[in-house]
Amino acid sequence: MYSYDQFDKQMVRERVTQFRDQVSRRLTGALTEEEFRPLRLMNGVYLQLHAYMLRAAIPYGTLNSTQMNQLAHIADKFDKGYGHFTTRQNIQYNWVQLKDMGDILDLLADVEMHAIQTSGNCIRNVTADHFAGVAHDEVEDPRITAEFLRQWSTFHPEFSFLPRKFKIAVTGAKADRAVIMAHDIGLQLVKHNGEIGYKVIVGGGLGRTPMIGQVVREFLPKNELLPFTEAVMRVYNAEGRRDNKYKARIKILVHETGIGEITRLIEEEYAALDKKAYVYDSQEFARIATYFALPPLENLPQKAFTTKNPALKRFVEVNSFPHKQAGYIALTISLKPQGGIPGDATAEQMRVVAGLAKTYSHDEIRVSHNQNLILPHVKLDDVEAIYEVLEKHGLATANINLITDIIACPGMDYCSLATARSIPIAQSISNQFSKKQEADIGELNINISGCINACGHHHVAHIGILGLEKSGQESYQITLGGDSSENAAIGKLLGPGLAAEQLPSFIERLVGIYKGEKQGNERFLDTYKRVGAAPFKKAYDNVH
Amino acid sequence: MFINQQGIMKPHQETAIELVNSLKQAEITKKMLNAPHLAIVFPAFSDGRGFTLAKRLRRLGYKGGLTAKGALIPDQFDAAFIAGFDAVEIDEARASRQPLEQWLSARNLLKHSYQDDIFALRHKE
Repeated sequence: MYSYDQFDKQMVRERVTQFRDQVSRRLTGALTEEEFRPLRLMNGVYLQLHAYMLRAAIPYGTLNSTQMNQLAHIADKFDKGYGHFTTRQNIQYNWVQLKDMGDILDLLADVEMHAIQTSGNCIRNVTADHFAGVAHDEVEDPRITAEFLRQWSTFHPEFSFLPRKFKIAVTGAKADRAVIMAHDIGLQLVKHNGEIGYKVIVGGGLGRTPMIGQVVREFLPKNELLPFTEAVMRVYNAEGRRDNKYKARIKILVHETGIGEITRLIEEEYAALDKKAYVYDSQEFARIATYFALPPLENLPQKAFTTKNPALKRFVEVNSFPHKQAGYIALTISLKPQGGIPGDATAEQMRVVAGLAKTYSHDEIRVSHNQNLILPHVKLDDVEAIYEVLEKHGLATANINLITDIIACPGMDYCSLATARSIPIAQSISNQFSKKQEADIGELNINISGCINACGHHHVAHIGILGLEKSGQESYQITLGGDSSENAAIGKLLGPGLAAEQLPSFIERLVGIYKGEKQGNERFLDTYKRVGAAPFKKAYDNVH
Repeated sequence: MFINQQGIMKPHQETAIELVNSLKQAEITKKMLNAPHLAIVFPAFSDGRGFTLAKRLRRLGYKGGLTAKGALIPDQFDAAFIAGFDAVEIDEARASRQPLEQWLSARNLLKHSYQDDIFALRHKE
């Protein structure tokens, strides 16, 4: 994984100095709160319901044991002993204080981490496939591109006061495990006549007006990535709406202008811009690429995993992802224990994962946008030992992609934007289904958002749950048929809002309808796509 | 208060033609490009369109004085010069809250930049 050189190290240190100065100017009143706000947001500092929240960046969801141990240390020293892994591969601390921010940022800088641009109207964390470097179907590791973009977008002088936030995601394969179709810019690495380049998609996004992105370039040669991105950003900066915060994303600009005209504007800007600044791009890209070579894996025979322990067998079946190297898997550690808070990990659990990564996974950990952790390079021979450790620390839940692997935003328990609680809903649904039922149901993605900002990504879930407020009560809308893969789709509203207590049995009813309609090996999503919403609306019958 | 790139509070000799920051590239006229001094108005510091407009003006060959005028904060000083401005102009109220020293000390806090020199420093022979 990428390792800082002197320039990267200097950058994060200078940023901390700058931020400390900004905090002191805020305290003297030289900066108003309104002026301070974007500056602190660009350092990941939010003001939430109960306390300040810090969102530390985990670039493209990759970190090592030293970094994970530091995140654990920060959780212990400055928070309440835990952290929350997010749908954009970052980590959030919900109980930090403003006076400690400088010290926390210094601790992050000590381990080559930061909280730069994890919020604010700027380019955010560039996310990537959490199985990058591992997956068989990859054209190239998307994290090289993500790191390249991370550097170019950091403190960009022209693009730090955009109409709104800007999110970029990269996939290295046709299979989209990074939700690129729902990002402001989505990049898919592709090969044309032996040359690697990008399919560039613009204008996807969730939130209040979910939209699937559209192609602006079928093939962009690799060495043109930064100037082309500059062109997209310039058009957005100049033309994006600034009259209405909820209409300010590039997806609205694309929707209102039309993909043809937007493409023309981008290509026109691209033709006009000065490419001299990019003369070192190929060399820099190649330099970054050297950090993402596969670690020294052993040459092992391809074999199936065998064990007499049924729980371990199930764990491997459900939580493993095939690795391109024989004898290895990528192992997902679920942060969705039964009845637990999705995506949360205690400091102790973080340390356990760090230790396992160091011993068994070439010191590498990934964070997925599904709010789980991954050990990317695990020998099948080591899985049993790993499982034993995970079990002792509540990290051995075998539920990846199953009904209890729920994605949920922090919701009204933490977030000042929320209209409803999301965590208790996740917990109640998680408790509703036994292991046996869960296995029987198969792949089913449930995502919960506590308000229409949709940070839980409910729009692209098979079953999406949106928590609103109706006459002073929490009311939950159900959407069906969302898809976050390369077959991206926005879920459709199924019917009227439900009360929290009604949800677990309602979900159970939906599952029952699916089982009744299912043909062959269809997943819930497949059955829904085939039969449509009508059979599922029957779940509203007799709801009281 | 006027501050130029050298940190000196000396206003331009020529009065500026003021431009709105929402001016489209297609709306830039020959008259503008021939003016000795242009000022782009920043209605809010959070509105970064002025940086793009400045860049576009310089790209079209504008050689005159270019001032970023209105709602800017010291933390945008460097960005302004990178965009092609050669001065910042703020009103008295703002200047009393953010006097010259704050503008000067906000400069060059980041010694290098990824967009400008870091790639070159890494690879230039």
